[in-house]
Amino acid sequence: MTPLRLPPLSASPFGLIRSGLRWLRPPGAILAAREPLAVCGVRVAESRRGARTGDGPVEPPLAEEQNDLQVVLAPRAPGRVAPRADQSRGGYQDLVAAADWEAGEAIADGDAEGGGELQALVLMGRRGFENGEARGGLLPGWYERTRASWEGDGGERFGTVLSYGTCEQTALFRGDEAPFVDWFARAPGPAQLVWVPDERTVHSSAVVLQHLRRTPAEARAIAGAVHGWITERLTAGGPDAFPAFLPDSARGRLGGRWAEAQGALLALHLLSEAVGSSPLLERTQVLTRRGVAEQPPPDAVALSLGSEFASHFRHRRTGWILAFHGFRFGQFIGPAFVEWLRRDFEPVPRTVADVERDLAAVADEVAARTGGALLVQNLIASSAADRVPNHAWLGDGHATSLPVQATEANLMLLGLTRHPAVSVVDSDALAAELGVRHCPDRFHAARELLDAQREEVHRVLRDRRVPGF
Amino acid sequence: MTAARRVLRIFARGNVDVRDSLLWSRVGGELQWNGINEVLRTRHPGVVARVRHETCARLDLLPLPGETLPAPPEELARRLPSGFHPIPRQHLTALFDGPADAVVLSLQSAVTNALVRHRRDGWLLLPDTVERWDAGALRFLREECENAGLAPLEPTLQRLERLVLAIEERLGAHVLVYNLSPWVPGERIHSWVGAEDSLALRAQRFNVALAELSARLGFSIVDVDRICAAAGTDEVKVDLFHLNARGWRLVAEEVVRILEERGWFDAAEGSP
Repeated sequence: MTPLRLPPLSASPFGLIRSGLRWLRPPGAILAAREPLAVCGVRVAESRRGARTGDGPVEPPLAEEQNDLQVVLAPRAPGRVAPRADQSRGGYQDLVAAADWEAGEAIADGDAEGGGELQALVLMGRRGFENGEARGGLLPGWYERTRASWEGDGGERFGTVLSYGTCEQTALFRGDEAPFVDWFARAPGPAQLVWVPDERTVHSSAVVLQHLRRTPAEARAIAGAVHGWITERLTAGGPDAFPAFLPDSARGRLGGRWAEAQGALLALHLLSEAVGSSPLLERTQVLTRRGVAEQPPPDAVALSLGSEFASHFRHRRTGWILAFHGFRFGQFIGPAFVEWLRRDFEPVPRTVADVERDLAAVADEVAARTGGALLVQNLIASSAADRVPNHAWLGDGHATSLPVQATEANLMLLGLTRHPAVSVVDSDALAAELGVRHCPDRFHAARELLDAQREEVHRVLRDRRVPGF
Repeated sequence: MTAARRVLRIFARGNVDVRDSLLWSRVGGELQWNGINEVLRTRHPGVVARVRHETCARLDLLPLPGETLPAPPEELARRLPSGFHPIPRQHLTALFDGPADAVVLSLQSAVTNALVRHRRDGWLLLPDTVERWDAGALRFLREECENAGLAPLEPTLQRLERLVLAIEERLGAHVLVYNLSPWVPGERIHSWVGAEDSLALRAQRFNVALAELSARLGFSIVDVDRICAAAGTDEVKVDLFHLNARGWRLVAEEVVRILEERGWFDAAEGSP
């Protein structure tokens, strides 16, 4: 057996501290190369805060993700692994960083040839609400952005890929179980994946384009609109505005949440996203063996054509565009917010031609500003359930039926890939190849199709020579 | 005494998709699929299909009633090699010569078949299996004909519309049109920069246009695209044109299902 050791990992000029380890596989398990063995929480050491490298104080790196930094450790080569028991003490000892990261420290033993130094997958979560905390798993909370970086054996610069699509990209990029490990196992690195969920607004080309082109004055106007509505909601309540304190609640009451807050919180989150940086332009920092390295904006941005057919709304006064999936209304988006949409927003019907125009504009903006490319995942147009041998049966609904609209949108997208900065991830072809039973609802693929999609994305990234993939 | 079987009269104009699903599919001389009657035998034992089949050089070479399409002179048509599409028959059809219960057409030829045009006389021709043509025939092709390319979408669909209306008016037959599964197993293109449309891309465009035409006219689409996607093209497709026996069976079953939904079997089996 060979000792398996922590790799070098540095936040220089700051220190790096880590928690105890939580084992992700039982003792004696046989692991594949880059299969996660253990995870620990890490922090950039605060003792060096204020250290000077020039005239002013230095902001610690990874500041927006300090509370959810984790390092997953994995062997380089396949083999049996025996964890060292003293590395895991349980409880918060294995969650909260307290000891220095010591490169070369042996944490387990393995029988793989060429064992020795473990490989590190760094997970980073930027919380939607900094004080809202979840502990215990791998990136266990709700994040407005999650990232993973791995240096592998070093070499060229990090390539960065942003997943900015709808829910079908969650499993594709973030993964089914442990976040990002499918890509860690697949791409040699140095590589970085960034995943931004669509629970706030859906990132259609209209939303993305507006975000890229937003001016400070527009941001102020949106902030004013949100402030006005929240103020109105929170101050307009009558005597029953707080059900928890009504007389009939004095002896107990089912349900403790103040429902009004949900609409206000959603509005604030939407505002926060609208006036924050566009993830398409965000630079990032990653931990490496030699210190923190700043990375340029994403080399490739994965979007979903499915985003384009979400329900779009434009704020009448400010022009602010929001997009939501229909299923979110009611279950996730409450009546007060819906009423706001009805009163202060107008629906924005979008044709395939509108989508084509906006996607082309986003591609131009991204190519010009960052040199990045768009990878647009198309729609799965075929469905075993949609057997329509006679389209006259659909009447006026023919043109807007899902199979027709999806096929027309897919055709539009294929045409758009004549733009040098646009590639299609042809999920439709993959689903047809494997059989659409792997994606019965058209959107949420099962494992086999997901693997094929991941393989296809990887192929496109390599074709586009995105470093590290 | 056994009851007399009812006859389902199908007139089919198309190529491998129509023939192999409705009549038979042979690979290397070995029968893989024995056509629509295999389906009828179990689902409608009292019915037998008689399929009259014509190959289709291209959908726009199928003449409308009373129409005579410009065609090569008879002597030339006999002299040139024909392949699977006999030149003397490319511009003719027996479609309107007799009764039919169902007429089956296909988009395949419109999507994939490029024709040549005679420079002087303007007639069109599908030079099939041209790789086997002798030097004299090739010289004729080179010197007297020019490439007429693939069929343009809109005129083709306009012609198909006239054809469907004529079939319904003249024959009172159910019209079924096969679309084409665009997927080629293993083909992956993520960027079309500088590339011409592939046949797969054309097939998708034609499929959408066919659905729009069906919405207006009410004929039936045999949705080969959906059938292959549901089963998995890896499982049932060999290449852009060819399915395996399971695929052809699924297509034939869909033809029968459509005719069931259109009530043909109710009328046939329910009548005294």
